[in-house]
Parts: sequence; structure tokens; C-alpha cells
Amino acid sequence: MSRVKIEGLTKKYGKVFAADNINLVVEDKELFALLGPSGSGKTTIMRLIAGFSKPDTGTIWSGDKVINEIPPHKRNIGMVFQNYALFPHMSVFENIAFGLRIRRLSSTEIKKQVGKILELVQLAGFENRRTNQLSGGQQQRIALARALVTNPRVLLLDEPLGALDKKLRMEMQVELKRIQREIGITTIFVTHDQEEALTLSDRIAVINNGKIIQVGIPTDVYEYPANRFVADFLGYSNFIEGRIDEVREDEIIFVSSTGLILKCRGNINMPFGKHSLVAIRPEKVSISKAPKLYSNSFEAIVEHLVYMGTGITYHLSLQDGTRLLTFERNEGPSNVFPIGSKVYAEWRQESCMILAE
Amino acid sequence: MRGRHSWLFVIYILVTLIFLYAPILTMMAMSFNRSPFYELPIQFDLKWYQNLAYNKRLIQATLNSAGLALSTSITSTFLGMLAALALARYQFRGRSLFQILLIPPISIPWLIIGVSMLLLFNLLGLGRSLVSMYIGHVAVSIPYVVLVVYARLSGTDPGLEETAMSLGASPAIAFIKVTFPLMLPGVLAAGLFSFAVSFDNFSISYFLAPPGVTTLPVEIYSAIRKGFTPVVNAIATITFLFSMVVVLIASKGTRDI
Repeated sequence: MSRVKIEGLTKKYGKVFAADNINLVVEDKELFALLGPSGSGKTTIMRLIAGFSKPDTGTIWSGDKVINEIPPHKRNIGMVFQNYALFPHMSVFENIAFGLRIRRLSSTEIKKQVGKILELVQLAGFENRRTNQLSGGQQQRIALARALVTNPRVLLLDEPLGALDKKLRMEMQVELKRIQREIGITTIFVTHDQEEALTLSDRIAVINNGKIIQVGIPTDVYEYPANRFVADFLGYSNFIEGRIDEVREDEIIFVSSTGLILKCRGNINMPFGKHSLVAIRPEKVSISKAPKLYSNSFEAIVEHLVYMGTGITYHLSLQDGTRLLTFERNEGPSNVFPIGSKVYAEWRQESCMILAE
Repeated sequence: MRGRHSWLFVIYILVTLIFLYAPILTMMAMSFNRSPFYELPIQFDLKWYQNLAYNKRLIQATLNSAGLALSTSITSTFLGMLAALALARYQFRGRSLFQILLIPPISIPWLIIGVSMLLLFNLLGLGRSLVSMYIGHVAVSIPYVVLVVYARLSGTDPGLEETAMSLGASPAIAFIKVTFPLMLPGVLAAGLFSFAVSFDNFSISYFLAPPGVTTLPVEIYSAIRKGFTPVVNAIATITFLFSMVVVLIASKGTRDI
């Protein structure tokens, strides 16, 4: 059983909390994402788990063993750095065999294991290549193979898809998930790319300023963000300030500071009358010539549009000046609303989320 | 470089090279000249090189220089390598101070260092001796070692050692199997550099050599004061060529993999 548990983990540099009382459980065989902006503390947490850094307070478990006092080379935790850190003075074979040699496996056994893992990452036959002869995607797979061949209990990945171009990223996403499933290893990866987190992980922990803001499966974190930071960091959000006017059984009436009346969803325990915030994701805002009569429907003018190929981003402004972003599918050039068009911006009540600040 | 003006560039390079090497080439040419009075025209003769084989003073001085340079090189390379490692991989108290303190041996004229050391060693009771010379040579060559090895280390990724550790290598094994092999070209280059620095050193040797002991640079200097023959040119030519080879090998080693 290789679940990872962190309790009360804190690390300070001077006066700054790089990690502030972190409590986290990563289940056995889970693909877990630590998501946060630069400087949020995610890398600090990963290095603490790996053992390259000592916590000021807190406990780290690997399985049912406390590993705080165990040095990194005895923790049996595989790691892949963002730049892959392949040993430049060794061949692919020697790179992968490195961990096996340290564990004193026989030559024949080492050869077998290296062959097996290369097949798993679909690079069979690459044993004798030099590391500088490899493409980015190949380097990553070798780095992964090297970490996995020693059968670690936990795998740590630092920005796994960060160094790859878009097409390669999409391929590697599938690859990475496949390999992780096949081996069944508890994996924690660190990223600032919310798309990477959403597409790869089983669960996400959103981190900012050393603290965990929200933990959940991608759908939950995306559709039910805990606060403004999460709503803004994952995907895009339109924010409207105002206050809760009325809490009904099936909906909450929100009045914006400019007087717009919105029908929203939220927690019935939310205090009304107080200053609050609503978030609406652009893909949930629909624009059309004639109102389709969703719960929220407002007249708007197209101020600006961005053609993205797969879709179009419209910058709209409502009559009271509120600005909204919306993503529409690209259904063909004749379906594009030109700048200046008068349209209706609409969204469902469930798409209108009231947030705790 | 535009095609039109590249000839200017070539001329500039030629002039620089001539300025640098004309004296040296003249000196080398004269080592093959039969005349003991440096008269022209040059009449080719290897007699001064043959003479060299019997010149006990010069040969002893050369052996002294070589022996001193070898022990200096080994010591300063070892110490300098440790210093470079500390600077490149660790944060520690006094790190910037340490870096600054490595500069004076290179920037302060060795003449002044030589005199100061003589005063210090006299106070300490060491006086002029082989040990004093050894200490002096090591002191002035360490900064070169640190510079070369540090430059080499900065070019390597610290993540490599951490990766090695995550794969099960203890810090010692990580150093032996990963860090050191990558550092090696720099260490070898530094070894050769410090050898050259010590071999060619005049000031420190001059001030700290005990009576009866000379190194080659000091011996050549004495010969010039007292009166000399082209046998000095012969040994100087050999030394020069030897140093050139050493430095060339060293500079190949400082190139990255």
C-alpha cells in the first residue's frame, strides 16, 4: 500500500511560509496534481516529500511509515525533474540501469528490466542512444523509465508536460496516464498549468501562498470552485460583484453593484445582504440574436472578438457596462457576430456561481 | 563580418600575433644559432641543446621546477576542487566573503605576495625553504583551480545529483558516479593550469628559495644577470613548448561535453 499522507507540514524561509500547515492524503495508485502559480509552494511540498528539504514542522507518511528522518536516497521515491536530468555522460541503457546497479541486480536481470521498461514507454531498441540524440518527448519517456524501473512506492513529477509543444503534450498526456495505470503507482505531479492538472489527474489540490485552497476531482474543482482564486486560476471566469438579495429554495437572487439581477446557485448558508461575488464561466455564456430565455438573459453589444480557430472569444458589454467574456464554437464564418452586433448574452442559473471570497 | 572589410580584421589579427610572438620566436631561433654572441646570420647548430645535457645547474633547476609544480598541482587541484564544489552547490555563511577572498592572489602582484610571504615565514621560523615555496605556489594557484572547476560545475545541472539520490545513490555515490565524471575535464584542466602557473612562477620562487635551490625561471634570471650563452635559449625553448602543450591540452578540457 503506498498512499502518501502529509500532516501539519510547514516550511519557512525567513519570514515567508513556503508551505503553511499542509494536510493532504494521496490514495494508493492515485494520479494527484498539486496545482498552483509560481511561488505557491507546490515545488516546496514536492521536495519535502522527496526528502531534499527538511520540514520545520509536520509529518510525512509513505504507506504506514513516517519518512521524515529518512534521507532521500532511502525513501524509494522516484522523481522526474522538469528538464528530465538525464545523465549526459551515460547512454540510455546506463541511465535507466543506474538505479538497478545501485541495488546490485545481476547483469542479466538489469538487461531484462531495462528492456521491459523501454517497451513499456515504447522506446524499445533505444538502449545505446546517447542522451543528446533524443527528442524532448523521448527524453521524458527515458526519464520516466529510469524512475519507474526501480519500482518506487511513489512517483513525483515536476511539470511533466511543461517542456513539450502542444501536439506532443496531448500525446504524452495519454501516454503518461496509460503508463501510470499499467504500473499502478501512486503519482504526484506539480504544475502551474491548470489544463495539465484537469486532463491528467484523478484529484487536484489547488495551492496558493503555501496553503491548500481546495482539493477535489477535476470536475468538482472546476464546476464548484471554493473561492475567487480557484475560479480564476482554473479556466476563465467572468466576475460580477454585488450582494445576495434573496435566498430561495431552488435559486439565489443576486444583485450586482450596477443593478443587474442574476439568478444563481450557491450554498443556502450564504449570508445575504453581504458583499459577494458571482463567477460565470465564458463557455457557459451563450450568445444569440434572439433570446432563448435562460434564467439569465441580457442585451449586449459585441465589443471585440478573437478568432481562435476552434472557437471564437467574444468580449461583450451589457447595458450597465458589465463586461463579459464568452467562448463560442466555431460553426463557420457565416455564424460569427461582427463587432458592434446587438446580441443576447445568456446563461443558466446553475452556471451562475456565488463564491465565498 | 562583411566580406569587404574582413581583410582589415585579418591584418589586425596578424599584427597582434606578430607583436606577441616575435620576441619568443626570435628567442627560439637563437637557440639554434652556432654563435655564442647572438651574431647574425643564423648558422644552424644543435650544440646548445647538446650542451644542455651536461649543464647540471640548469637540469637540476628544471627538475626542481617540475617536482614543485607537480606537488603544487596535486595539492591546489584537490583543495580548489573542494572549494569550487562548496561554492557551486551549497549555500553557507560567509559564501560571498569566501568568493571575494579568492581574488587577491590573482590580482595582487606576485612580487608583493612573495615579499609578504618571506616576511611571514621568517616570523614563523620557516624562513626560506622548499616547504615555504610549496606553500607559496599552492596559495597562488588555488584561485585558478577554483575558477576553472567552478565554471565547469556551474554548467552542470544540480538536478543530476538529486536525481541520482532519488534513484538510491547515497550522496557519496552520487558524487562519484555523477558529479565527479562531469567535473573531470575541468579538474584535469585545472590540474594542468596550476602546473603551468607553478612551473612558470618567478617571484614566489625567487623570494622563498633557500640558498642552493633554484627553479628554472630563477636560474634563467640569474644567468641573464651574470652572463649567459644560448644554452639558456635552448632550455627556454623547451620550457616554452612544454608549457604550450600543457595549456593547449588544458584548454581542450575546459570545453563542455
